[in-house]
Amino acid sequence: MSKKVLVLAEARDGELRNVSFEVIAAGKKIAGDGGEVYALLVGDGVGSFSDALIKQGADQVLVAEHADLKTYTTDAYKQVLLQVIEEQSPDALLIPHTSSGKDLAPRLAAKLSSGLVSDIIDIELAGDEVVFTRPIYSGKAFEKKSVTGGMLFATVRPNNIAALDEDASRSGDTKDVSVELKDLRSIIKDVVKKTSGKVDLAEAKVIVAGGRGVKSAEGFEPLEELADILGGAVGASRGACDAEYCDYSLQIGQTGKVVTPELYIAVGISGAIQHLAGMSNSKVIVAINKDAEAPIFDVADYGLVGDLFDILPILTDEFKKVKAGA
Amino acid sequence: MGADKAVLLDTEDLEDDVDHYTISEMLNAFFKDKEYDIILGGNVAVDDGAGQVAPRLAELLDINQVTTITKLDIEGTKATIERDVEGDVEVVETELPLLVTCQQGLNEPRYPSLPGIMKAKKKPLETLDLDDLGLDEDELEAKTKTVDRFLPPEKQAGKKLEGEPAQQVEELIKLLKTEAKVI
Repeated sequence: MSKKVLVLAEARDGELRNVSFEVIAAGKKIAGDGGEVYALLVGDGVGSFSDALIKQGADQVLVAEHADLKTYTTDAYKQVLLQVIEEQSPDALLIPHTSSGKDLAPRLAAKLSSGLVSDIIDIELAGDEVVFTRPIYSGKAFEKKSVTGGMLFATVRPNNIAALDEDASRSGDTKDVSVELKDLRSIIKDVVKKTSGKVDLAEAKVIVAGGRGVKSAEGFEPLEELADILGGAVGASRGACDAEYCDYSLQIGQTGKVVTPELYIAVGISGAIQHLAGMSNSKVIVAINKDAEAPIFDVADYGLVGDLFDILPILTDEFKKVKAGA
Repeated sequence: MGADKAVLLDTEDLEDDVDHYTISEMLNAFFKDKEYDIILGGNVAVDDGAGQVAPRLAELLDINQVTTITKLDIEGTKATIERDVEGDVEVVETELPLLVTCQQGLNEPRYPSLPGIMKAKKKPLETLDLDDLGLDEDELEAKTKTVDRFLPPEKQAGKKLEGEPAQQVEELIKLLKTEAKVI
């Protein structure tokens, strides 16, 4: 019954991403009583994150460090994962459904001749069978899938499976994995930062997103102010990106990012189906729009009809008061 | 749109038992005796959204991959690529042969012209089934199984708040605190 689960932790810009704790929580569920979760850290100078992973539920941490692992590349990470899988023979493998996880997991699955369930948002145990839930048709429907061949293997969408509470009294071993990398075929020449780096859109608990109604790049300033107050991130519809009000790195929707924050505030976004695909599974949706008939109101929990430039400053002030009171 | 030749890999013999493993094995069988410099795939399918097939194929063919690319320059056998990494742009250099998956922004697809549509009718379309690919049904058995498909619970109709902006905001803050409990 009990299983040994290997999960891949992920750091970005020198910080451990929250999804690392979420894959541990998911791993615990699969491992069952008496099972174990091994968390794997890959990178250069990432060993210091080991403690945090143990406090969040990892039973053992494996650290693979190498200068060539500083930035993700397919070949290097694949070699590390294959080596660790070979050494540890886990029953299950969980990888974050992030940019690198999406690139890596299918390749590993092919190498291991294994099934893989991508982008899962929930896990159920039916006896000894593990059943994963994942969105399909851009979140308009869901399916439940299980792996029938190879390793029990899934990628986990950030912000959906709750991390466990931190337990400072937990202890666990940390073990270095010595890796030799060869035949790396991609060379990363440069990384151009386009994201502000303040709050990661994929992991943000609050998102304030603007559309064509924002009218200009300057029009995004009140949105940024509101996002700052709420400790959230700014996003945008394709319309706003196409109109060059903001960078495509902020785009939410079918071709942009898929987000599931606790609170999504759509500002001047009409709610085209492609945009809804990227945000309709947010927990609470607030829409602010001049047009009372805009389709965004069909998915919004709360709708404010009016000029966003009138409403936003008042809203920001009120949130400031709430935050000051809390 | 500009393709010179099209091939259809027919999955009819497999009935419903098709997953990413199956499809990538079929593509592998097709490509393994072909010559190619670059294979371009989509980033994810709009329906399933898993994005597994292209990286799986690259692994089976033992060629390098670069996913979610937004710019591609090829000089001889060297490829210089920009890829989207959750909003940041990574500049990657690598060698052909190569598999890439395309992200929005790579280029602007041309609109098919009427003469183009007429000409397309004369282009060859080859259909290959499992026998043609030298594959056996049993080797292609899916490695995942769909247990259930369902629609999300019907969302309760949202509330449209009324009054002047200040009144609407006040009402919203109250609801977010007491009803939605997100602040």
